Amino acid sequence: MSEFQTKLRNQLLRNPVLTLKEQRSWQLPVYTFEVAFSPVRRFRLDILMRMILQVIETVSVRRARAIADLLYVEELFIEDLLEKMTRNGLIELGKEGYALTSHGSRQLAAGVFEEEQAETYMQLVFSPLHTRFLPNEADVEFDEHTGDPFRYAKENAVEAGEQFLLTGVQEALADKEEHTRDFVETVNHLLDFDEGELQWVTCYEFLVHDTKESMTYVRIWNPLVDGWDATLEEVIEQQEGLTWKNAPTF
Amino acid sequence: MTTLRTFSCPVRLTKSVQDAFKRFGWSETGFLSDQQTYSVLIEKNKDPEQTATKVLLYFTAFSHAQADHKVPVLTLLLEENVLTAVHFMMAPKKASRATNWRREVNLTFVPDVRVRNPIPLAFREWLADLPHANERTAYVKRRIAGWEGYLAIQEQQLDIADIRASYESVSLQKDFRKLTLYGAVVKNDQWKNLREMDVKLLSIGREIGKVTKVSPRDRTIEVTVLPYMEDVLRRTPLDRFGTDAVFTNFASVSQIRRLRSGFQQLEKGHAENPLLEQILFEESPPVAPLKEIPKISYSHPLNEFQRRAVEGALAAEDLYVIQGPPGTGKTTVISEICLQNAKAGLRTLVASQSNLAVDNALSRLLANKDIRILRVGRTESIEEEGKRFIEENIGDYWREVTLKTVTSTVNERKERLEQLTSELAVIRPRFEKVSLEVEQWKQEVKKKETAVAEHANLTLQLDELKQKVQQLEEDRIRLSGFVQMKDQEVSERMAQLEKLNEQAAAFPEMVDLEQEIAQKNEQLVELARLVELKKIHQEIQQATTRFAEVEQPLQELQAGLDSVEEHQQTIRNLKSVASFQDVLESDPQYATSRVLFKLKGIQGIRDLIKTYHPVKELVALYEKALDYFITRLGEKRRPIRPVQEPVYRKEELQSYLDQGRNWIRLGELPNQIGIAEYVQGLYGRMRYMAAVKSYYDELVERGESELDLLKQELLHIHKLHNEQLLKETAGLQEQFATLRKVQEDWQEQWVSLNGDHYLEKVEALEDVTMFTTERELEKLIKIKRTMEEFDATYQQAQENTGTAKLAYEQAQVNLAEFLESSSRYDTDILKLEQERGLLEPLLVTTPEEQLEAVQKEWLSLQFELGRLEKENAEAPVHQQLQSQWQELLENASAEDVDEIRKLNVKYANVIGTTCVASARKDFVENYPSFDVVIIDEVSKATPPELLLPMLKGKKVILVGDHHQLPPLLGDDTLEEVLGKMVEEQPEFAGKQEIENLLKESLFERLYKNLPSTHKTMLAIQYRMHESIMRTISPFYQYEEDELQCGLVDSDAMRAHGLDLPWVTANNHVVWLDTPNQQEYFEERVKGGRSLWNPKELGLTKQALLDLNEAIGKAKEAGKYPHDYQKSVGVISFYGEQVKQLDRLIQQELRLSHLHIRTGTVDRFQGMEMEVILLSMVRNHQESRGDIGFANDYRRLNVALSRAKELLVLIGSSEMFTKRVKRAATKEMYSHVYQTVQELGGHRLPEEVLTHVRVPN
Repeated sequence: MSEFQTKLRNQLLRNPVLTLKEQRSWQLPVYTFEVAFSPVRRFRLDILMRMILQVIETVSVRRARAIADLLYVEELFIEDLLEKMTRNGLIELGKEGYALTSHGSRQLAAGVFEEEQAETYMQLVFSPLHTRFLPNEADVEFDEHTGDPFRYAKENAVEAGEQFLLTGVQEALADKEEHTRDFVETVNHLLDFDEGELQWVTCYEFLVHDTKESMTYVRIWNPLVDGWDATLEEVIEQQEGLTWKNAPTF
Repeated sequence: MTTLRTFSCPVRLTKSVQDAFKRFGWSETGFLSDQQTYSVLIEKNKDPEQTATKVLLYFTAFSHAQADHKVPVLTLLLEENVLTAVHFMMAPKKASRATNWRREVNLTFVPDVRVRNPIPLAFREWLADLPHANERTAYVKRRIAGWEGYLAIQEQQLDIADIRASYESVSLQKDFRKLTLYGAVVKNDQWKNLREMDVKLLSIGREIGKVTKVSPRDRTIEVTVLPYMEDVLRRTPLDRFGTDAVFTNFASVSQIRRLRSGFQQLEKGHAENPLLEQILFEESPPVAPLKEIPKISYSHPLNEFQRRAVEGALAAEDLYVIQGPPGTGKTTVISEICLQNAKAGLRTLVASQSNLAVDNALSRLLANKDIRILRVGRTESIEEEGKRFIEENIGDYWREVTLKTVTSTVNERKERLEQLTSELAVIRPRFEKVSLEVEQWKQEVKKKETAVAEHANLTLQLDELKQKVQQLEEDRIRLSGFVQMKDQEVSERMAQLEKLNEQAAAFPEMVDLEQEIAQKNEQLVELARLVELKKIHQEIQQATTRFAEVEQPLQELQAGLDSVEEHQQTIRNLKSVASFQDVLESDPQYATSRVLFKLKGIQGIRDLIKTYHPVKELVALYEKALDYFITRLGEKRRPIRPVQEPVYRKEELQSYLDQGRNWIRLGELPNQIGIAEYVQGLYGRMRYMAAVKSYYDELVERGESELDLLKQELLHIHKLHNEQLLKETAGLQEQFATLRKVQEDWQEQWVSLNGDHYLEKVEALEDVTMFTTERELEKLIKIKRTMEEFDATYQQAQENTGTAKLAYEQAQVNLAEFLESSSRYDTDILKLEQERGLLEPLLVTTPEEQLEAVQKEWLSLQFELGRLEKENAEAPVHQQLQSQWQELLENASAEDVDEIRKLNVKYANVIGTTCVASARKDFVENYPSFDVVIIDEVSKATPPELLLPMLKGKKVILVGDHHQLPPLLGDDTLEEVLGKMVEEQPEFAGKQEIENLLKESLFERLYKNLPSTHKTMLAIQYRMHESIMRTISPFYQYEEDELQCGLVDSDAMRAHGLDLPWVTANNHVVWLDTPNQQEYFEERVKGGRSLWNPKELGLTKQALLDLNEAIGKAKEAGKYPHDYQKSVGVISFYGEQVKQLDRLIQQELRLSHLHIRTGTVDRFQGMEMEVILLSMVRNHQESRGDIGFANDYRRLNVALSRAKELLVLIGSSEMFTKRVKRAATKEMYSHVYQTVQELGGHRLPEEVLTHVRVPN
């Protein structure tokens, strides 16, 4: 029994109504993907504003309505932004309709121009059982596949395309990314990625009985979520719950 | 916005106000004269102690350098129309806000320190119209006091400071929803205060939940974890839970504070709707009549009740109430109202008591471009459905909706382009063809136009000709007429002549006539002589007669004259009065009035003389006596002077004398003295007699002279008479002479005319002869004249006849000439008419109509073509722009839509929040008021909660159902809370108040009291199978409309897909009827009050297993998709039973085909499930027959109305329909039972447990 497992058990049993019925550990299969990408950085320009500038640059428009119809956006919003952009000197209303000022053209260009940043690497962890990428915030080291695999594990390989992984990158960055005030950083595509590698992470399972509620249930610690994993607990309960025979019978 | 009234405001300033002004550095009249006018808020208050009215002026637009956040407030007393400023202060701006009882006005001040000027009448009237603010406040305070009870209940434990406690260990329940602190160290007296307090664990540093249960004996504290904390706890190792907690009721306190601030706002008149307090409290709410609204185009398909509700809600000015029984589409109605409001540019607040209900309502709003939803509230307490509308997500929500629209457009783009090409391919040739047609028709039109012009020209000519012909015809008629007239004249003239001829024949011969006339003239001459003679003759005779007449009187007169002298002598001889009278009688001419008067006078004198005569006789006797006696006395006689007095009568005189005589005769003379006395008497009497004698003499003399005068008079008269006679005689004599002369003249004439010769004829002549002869002559002369005139007439007639004949002949000649000349026009007309006739077929054609039709088509084709070509031309650009837009939207991060997020917040027009949150400070600042406030699930909120959103709405729409359950406080109903409180503190003051409020909710009262225009019950439900609906219909039977089922085919649309021995396809309501026997009885939790029923638990378990299996089979049969789960609600009246059911389902059952939710009936309000299992719990044989919570019809209504397809009741019918004591309860359960039996849904427990059907 690992030290960590003991620690978990002790913690769990701090709960005075719980009695431990069973404990075990097993390995959860996950897929790791190494991905490379260059984030792009561009001038912060609200997409609707950018789009309005684009429309004005491309076609001649006189009224907010025309833009609203083209973009399927509330006319009210377009009017508001046209007014704001006029006030800020980005556009002006001439005889031919709206036109970009030189300042407006520069802004549009800056908003469109994406400056590539240095190449970055990232490891994504995908759990087929969870059907999602796990954050792995604790930066868990993966183990050799030595122990028992999780008895309800899904090992079938994941068909991972660029779009699939890109979503994972964007999700991961959404939490972490630090945005500078005037600029936005995004990832539009991946520079490189591998086919994925099957990895194993050790989870700890405790079957406990709540004497107060007279209820038996299972607790599973998953290091990748850095907490008690409700998904895994649910999987086990669905399969085994009825066998725990802990409820009063009638 | 109406412009403010401006009034002149004279105001007297008291010393204290002047001083106050000076303290602020102004003059004694302060700042009042600094500006022409001031805009002020006026508030009026009634002082019950005084007669004067207190008027407060808030100078809201005034700023003072020294007091930045303060506003000058001047207090005035209004007394006998004079305003006196009595107090001045600077008040905080906050206290100087506009309210419903303050009004704004412009005032021009006329301040004066001494003079009491009355305020103008207009201002006085305006002031009179202002409500008394303190009265309004008092009114609200009085009325709202009834609501205090709600707050009192919640406030019971709130005045408690934060409690710190340590604990030894923590246990978490399986799903991290419940946390228990063990070994808690709490002061003994504080244990009971902990309930309902919020718990903060110091080690975690956050609030984790609310205390639900405490046990001082076990030193445990049970905490219900906030949903958003569950995940945090899951990731927190137990050793990091620490050992110290803080219990606070800050959240509850601030909630109560907010509720109470609602009361205060209403009291201060801060409600958006100035009549709100009256609407809330008056017996008949003073709602304004509905306004006219334009026809609505609905975005949802609505039934008639829903439409009525939407229309009513839009048309109402202040309040509208919608009663929505279960499943009647309240949310649809709310959604439609929001949309219509949004379209009208109005902002709507959607509020409800719970976050869940708010989120529920918002999530069902249409994703319509016009609606911009914003969910406001604490993010962590907002449910998943509402989260996308919170401020930080609203940008992303917008992005999603827009992306969806843009994507579908882009996806349809290719199709659209193909369509465009094919449309263009069709439309282009059509356009060309139509263009050609247009040309053709244009020519046709031109042709027709020429023809029309020519036709018009010809018509014009024809008209002219015809007019001429008509003129000629008129001439002809005139000429013929003339001929005829002349002809007639000739014959008339001839006839006239003939008549004259006839007339001429009747006349006599002229010669005879003339002869006759001459004869008559001779006759007349003769007659004239005779007449004259006759006249003379008559005159002579007349003169003779008169002559005789004069002669007679003349002789008489002369005889009279002859006797004059004799007569005079007679008069002179007259002496006595009698003789005079004789004369007067015989000759009356003397009896003039003068004579008669004089005669009378003489008579009088004579009578007097006679009177005095005897006395005269006595004088001599007296003389003798005197002489005798003086002699005796030897005296000499004294002279006797006449003395008129005293008067002595004759008898006395006689007797006095006799006295003396007697003396002498008898010789008895008295002594000397007696004789002296007697002598004295003699003297006296003699003096009187002397006076009488002188008077007598005078009289005699006077009588003589008077007689003479009378004689003179008579002689005078006589003389006059005589003169008259002489005159008459002379007159007659003259007359006599004249007559003689006349007689002689006539006689002379008579002779000269040889009268005697004709005398015979004259005497025979009659007076009329002359006249008759003259007449005859005149007649003859007249005839002669007529005959002469006739000759002239006759001659004239002959001439006329000749002229007429000539004229007639001339006219005939003229007519003939005319007829010949006019005949040629007819030929001209004929020719022109023929020409015109040729043009007519062209005129009836309608090429312009066809041209118009073709042109119309051409225009629409041109427009369509233009549009399509434009689209075609722009397509690449637009496509490119839209694709770019799509891409941008797809890849946009939260930061990219930041601007849009702000726009969405700025322009949000449907804002959702809970009732209590609507009073949060930040919310009030951002959204001080709404055009419309919709409150959903009104029946579940307490009046103080409802008041908060109501305060903010110009119009309020309440949606609820008072036949469902009233508000909950925490997990308990108000009744339960009240019960507990009364148990804990029997003296609780608000008990009676709350019990009254519980009887009839605010919603129910409003719904009942409002006019029918201001409320609607949505009477069509779409949730329940018709059979299920039947169980609840009695609850709505007293409403205006009966509850109806809107499902077109209940059996098809609400098929449950189950096939079990105890539930067949036709069964939608089933009652598993347990016996009222010991083994089926309820049980009470050890040491608790809550009840549960183990046997019903078992039955529920089996029922669920059966359902699961049946759905599995149905899936196999292909009735449902593979991953389908039937939603099943397992509910009970009792919390303990729910807890047991929960554990049963979690621990003992794995029902993959069912999606189960459990809960108390109260918790399930607002939810719907395909299948509902209701465990009724109560089953006993106690004599009271009480069934507790199950008594409330509203609870039963909620319990029965959750199921869409199948409702299963599990409980003892005997208990609920027979043993129960309350009649109303018995009745309502009996209805359900009866319905179940009618529907064939009655089952015994064995049927479920053994799957053996027991026939009823």
